[in-house]
Amino acid sequence: MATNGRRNVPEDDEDFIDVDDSSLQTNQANYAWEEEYKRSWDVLQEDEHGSLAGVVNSLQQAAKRKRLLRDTDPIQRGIIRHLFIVIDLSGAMQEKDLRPSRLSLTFTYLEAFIAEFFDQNPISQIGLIGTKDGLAEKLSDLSGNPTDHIRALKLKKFQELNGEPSLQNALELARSSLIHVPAHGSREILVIMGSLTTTDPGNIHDTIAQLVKDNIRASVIALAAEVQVLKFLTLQTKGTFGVAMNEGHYRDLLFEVIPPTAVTTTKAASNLVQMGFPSRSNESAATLCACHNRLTLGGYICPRCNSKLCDIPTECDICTLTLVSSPLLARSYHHLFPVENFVEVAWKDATSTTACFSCQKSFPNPHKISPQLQATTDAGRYQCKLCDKTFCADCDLFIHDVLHNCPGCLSRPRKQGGMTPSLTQAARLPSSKLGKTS
Amino acid sequence: MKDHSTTEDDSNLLVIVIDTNPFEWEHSSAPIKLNDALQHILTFMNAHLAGRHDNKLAVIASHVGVSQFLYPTLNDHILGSTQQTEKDANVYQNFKVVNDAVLSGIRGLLEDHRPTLEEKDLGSSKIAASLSLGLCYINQALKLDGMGHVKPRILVLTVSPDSSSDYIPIMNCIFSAQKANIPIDVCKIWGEDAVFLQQAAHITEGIYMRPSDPAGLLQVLMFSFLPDMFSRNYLYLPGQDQVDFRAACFCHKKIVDIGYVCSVCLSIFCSFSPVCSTCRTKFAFQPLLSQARRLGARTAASNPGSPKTSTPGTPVGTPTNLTSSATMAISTPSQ
Amino acid sequence: MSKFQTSIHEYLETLPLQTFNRLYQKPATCLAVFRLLPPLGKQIIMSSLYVDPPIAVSDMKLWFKGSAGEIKHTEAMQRLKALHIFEEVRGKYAMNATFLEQFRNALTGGGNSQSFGLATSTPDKYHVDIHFLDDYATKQWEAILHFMVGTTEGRPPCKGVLNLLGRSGLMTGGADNGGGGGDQMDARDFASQMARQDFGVPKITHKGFQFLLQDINTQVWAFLLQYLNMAESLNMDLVEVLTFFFQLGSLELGKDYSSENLTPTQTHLLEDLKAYGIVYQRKRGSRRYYPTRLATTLTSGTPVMLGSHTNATKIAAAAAAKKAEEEEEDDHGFIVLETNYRIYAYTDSPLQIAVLNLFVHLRDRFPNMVTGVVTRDSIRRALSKGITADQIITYLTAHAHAQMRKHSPILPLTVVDQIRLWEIEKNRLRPVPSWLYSQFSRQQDFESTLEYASELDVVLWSNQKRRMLCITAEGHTAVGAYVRKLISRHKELQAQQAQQSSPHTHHSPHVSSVAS
Repeated sequence: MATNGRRNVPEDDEDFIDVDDSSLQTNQANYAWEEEYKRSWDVLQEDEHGSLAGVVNSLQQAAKRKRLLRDTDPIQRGIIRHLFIVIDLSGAMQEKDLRPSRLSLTFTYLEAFIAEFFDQNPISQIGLIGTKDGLAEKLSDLSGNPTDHIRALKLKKFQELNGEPSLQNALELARSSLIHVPAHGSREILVIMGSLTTTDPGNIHDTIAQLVKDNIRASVIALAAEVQVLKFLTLQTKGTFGVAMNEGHYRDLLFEVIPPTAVTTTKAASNLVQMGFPSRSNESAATLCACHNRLTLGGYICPRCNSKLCDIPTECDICTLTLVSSPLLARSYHHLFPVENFVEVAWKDATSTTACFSCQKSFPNPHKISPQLQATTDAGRYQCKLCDKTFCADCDLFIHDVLHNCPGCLSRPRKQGGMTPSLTQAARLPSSKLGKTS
Repeated sequence: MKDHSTTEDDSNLLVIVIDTNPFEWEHSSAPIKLNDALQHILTFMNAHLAGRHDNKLAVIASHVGVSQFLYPTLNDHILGSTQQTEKDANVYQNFKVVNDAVLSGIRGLLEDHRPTLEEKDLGSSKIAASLSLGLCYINQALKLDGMGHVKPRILVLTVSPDSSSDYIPIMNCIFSAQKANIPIDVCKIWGEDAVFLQQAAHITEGIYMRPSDPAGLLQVLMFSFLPDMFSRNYLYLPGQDQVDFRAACFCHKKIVDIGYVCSVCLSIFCSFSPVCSTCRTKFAFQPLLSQARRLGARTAASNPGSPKTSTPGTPVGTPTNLTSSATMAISTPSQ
Repeated sequence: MSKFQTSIHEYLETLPLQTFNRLYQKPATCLAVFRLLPPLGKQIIMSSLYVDPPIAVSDMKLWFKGSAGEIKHTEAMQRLKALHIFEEVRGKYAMNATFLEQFRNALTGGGNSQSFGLATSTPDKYHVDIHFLDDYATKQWEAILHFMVGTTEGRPPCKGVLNLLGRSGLMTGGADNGGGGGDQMDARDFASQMARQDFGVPKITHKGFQFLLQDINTQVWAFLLQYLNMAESLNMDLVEVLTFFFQLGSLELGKDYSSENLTPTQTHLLEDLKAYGIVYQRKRGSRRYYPTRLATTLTSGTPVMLGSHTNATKIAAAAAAKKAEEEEEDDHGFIVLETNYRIYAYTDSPLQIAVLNLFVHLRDRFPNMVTGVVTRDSIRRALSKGITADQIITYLTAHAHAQMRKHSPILPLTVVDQIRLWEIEKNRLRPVPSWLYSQFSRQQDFESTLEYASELDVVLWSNQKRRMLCITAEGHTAVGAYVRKLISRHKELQAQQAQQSSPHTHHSPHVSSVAS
């Protein structure tokens, strides 16, 4: 799994058989030492021919699929997020129980995390806070620019680690920044804690109560062991708590934070925000921009007041309209309209199709595969229940992980199939009928 | 991380999406007939295949209501590549196989899928579906290659106006393509600019072009869309002066330049509504609302809220096509 | 692009315009020539193919971006002009009219030149599949290579092949004929020499060793180019030969083609190509012929390995769908080279083993694998045969096992560097033709000769004690004359002494010059 961690694109690591890892993850409730000692080779069992190939294959398939079967119900998710990451920079981070060391692994993962976070939460913001010697220090301010944060991380990478962290100072620092963000965005803190102790100037419970009041959610990833006060913090603020057991598990815990969180309906601070989608234009002669009063050759034109701005997302300086690039918004739409999970086709039903609908790869022919082999493998076909088209495992993975479109549903005549799944939501509402009658 | 560098020895995988929307091709104002255009496109395909013996090609038809592979087709794979086609000593066999498959595929499509007028209203050709198919195909091809020698790209030859109901799927395709570094080239053979495809070309660093003379399609294809990824490093190719970043609203599928965005799910609406239709969030009565109303009234002036309003100012538009007239109706206040 | 493929360019570029005009009459040739061009050259053709008026030179410059683009543009244009595809006329680039027309035909399938091979109208009674053709091509081609390395397998190839081997300088008749000498030898002489086995077994030359290390496609082209050279002397029409080669490249593997429409020259050509395994014909004069993989990949520009008979390939080919790409991948590499200079070669082909044996000290042989080690001696042995370090490295890289390809660089740097060092080491000694003077009987003679030679600056080495000195070849005439003068003077002295009839003659001076 150590090699696994260095890759930052999830679909890349399918060459690995994550036998050990997946079995560990399912038992998160127990402590690692309470579990029975497991050897990865115990999980594998030979088939009747004494070959491991089939079993390994199906395990790989299963691992692939496991990643796939996720919640496809559209729920309210807060996509405009404000997240502070608190990083423990105390002496405890020098421990080498996570390879190469807690700190360097954390920094490696965080770099990947930041890139992936902005990919999935395009108009969200991140800030970084480091804590050591009983103090908390802001490494980077809340901003939507991933390079800022990655640069801040690189600066800190070779810094000396010493002293004790201060949980309270860090939380207060994060809170004071988060309190100013607009109500429609979420407020979150993620604490990465290597130390088992904290040096606080006052009562930590006051701070926790304050966080709850301000509707800030705090999650914790502990690298050493479960600490009561950390667990209490997450319980109170409805965050998540996890202890990293190994490198792979650490990464999983961290990346669980990335998908936009479901919004708690109790605090309905949501709103409709008016936004403009400007068009980009290039001019032959330089004109003054509205934001810096400088001569520029091109820019974005505010659709409301026609003033020229250098960069988006921003707020128009003239008419205060929020200007965003619509593709930026669209990046997160797949969270709203996930593709239905495909179902596995059994060997006995595998006769009707010969090739994958989307990539034209031919499927194994069920008549040519012995029943023994059929027992240990699957037919390699996955069917979309909405359009009845079958896909190969690679396409299945690609469609759900990357593409977020079902090619089958999109390419059938709408008359028979009704709306594509992504439109069923909108179609439910009376307003959408207006569009059709027009 | 994949290596994106290009060398002379790359093989090029070109996925061509051909819009076969009969309503547009058979329209009386169409400047070029489908048959003629196909001749140009087939020659272009041959030119691509001629470039290198390992250049690969996939052709997908984007029809009204259906999208399907024209080449390679499922049958090809079952019979092996040696499909029984009649030989002709005057034609390079590789060309012939592809050309025959594409022609017979399109003929089949036009015969089998005569969409009714009703379908036409529901949406134009299935560009999003074709792009999805193409991306899956490329994904598989890259996986088989493994060495990074195959450089994929997509070319969309379209005539239909934007189908706003395809907004989200097209966007999804764009981001997948961007992630995998696959440029999407777009040739809008005639008509208004296709806003979404324009964005697609912009985001994926492809080429967007609307030829001034559709009858000279072949020259445009040869000159602008044939260069492979390696050659593009050394050539000046048509760029985009103006990119339109407008989006389609979720409620009426209208293309808007100012919209209301749900803070929870980022859905875009063209007018204020108390409940988000996507995530069903109830919007609080906020001070923002008053501002929104005020501004909403202002935008309504430039934006004929009900599509019933006729569109006299439309420059080219095809009056029979409602989708395109809706597109046209949205104009920036400057116009 | 490999060396020999560049040489097909060079070859083509030497041809006169008239030849090109005739060559370009066939769409297949146009297509094949087109494929040999660099990417931007192709693009220039495509961009101007459907523009009727000639393009101004200055306009075309504008297509290219930056200085890098300009360099590529100049390069490409040079090639296009050399191949007479474009001509610069009054500041404008005009495309060769024949090429323009026929290349358009190639793309659109127009015209009636039938240059892409006329298919037979009736099915063949004798079933011939791709697998058979691959086997056939491999057998024929490897027979030639086996003959070259001198393994006993298979019978010696036919006269035509022997002839070609001799003419191309890949093999000699056993005399001390160096690397480049073979070219000038008369073809007929060589064949007769080969036939008369008593003259000496034909020996592989330096050039031949280098040839062995190339990939098959390059080898085939080298052969064909040699054939072209010979064609002229045999009064064959060059254009017909070239056209036929290019046509072969555009044919489809596994299909049969009619030989009825071929010209007499081409029918003759077919016979010869059959011997190389490039085409297959069931029997002489049959009405149909099949191109093998060697033919269909001629113009593809990438080395396509034949399924040279390793067992692994056969199984893979039989099991998997017979897709060319798959076979290609399976065959691609079989050599694993480790940093400790050990080599593991997964092959049972005697040919490949023989080639490896050129520069590897082979240790063990298993049914499907040989192991060996690269040593100083084994490399020096190869170097002494005229193989260069670069060729060895290229060969190893080209045949590296798929596992090795995952690393970058593919070969371990230590080994690559060491092979290079061994080559450089050899270069420390520089042979200079020279003459050795020795056995001076008198010290004065030696010293005066040395003094004289030093004045001329022709001394390479000298030893006072042993009275020896080395003189460069150029200096020999002068120094030789000087020494002869010395000797004659001594002889005169001797004669005088003899006249004085001195009894003690034991001190008679003995001066000799020995040249070596």
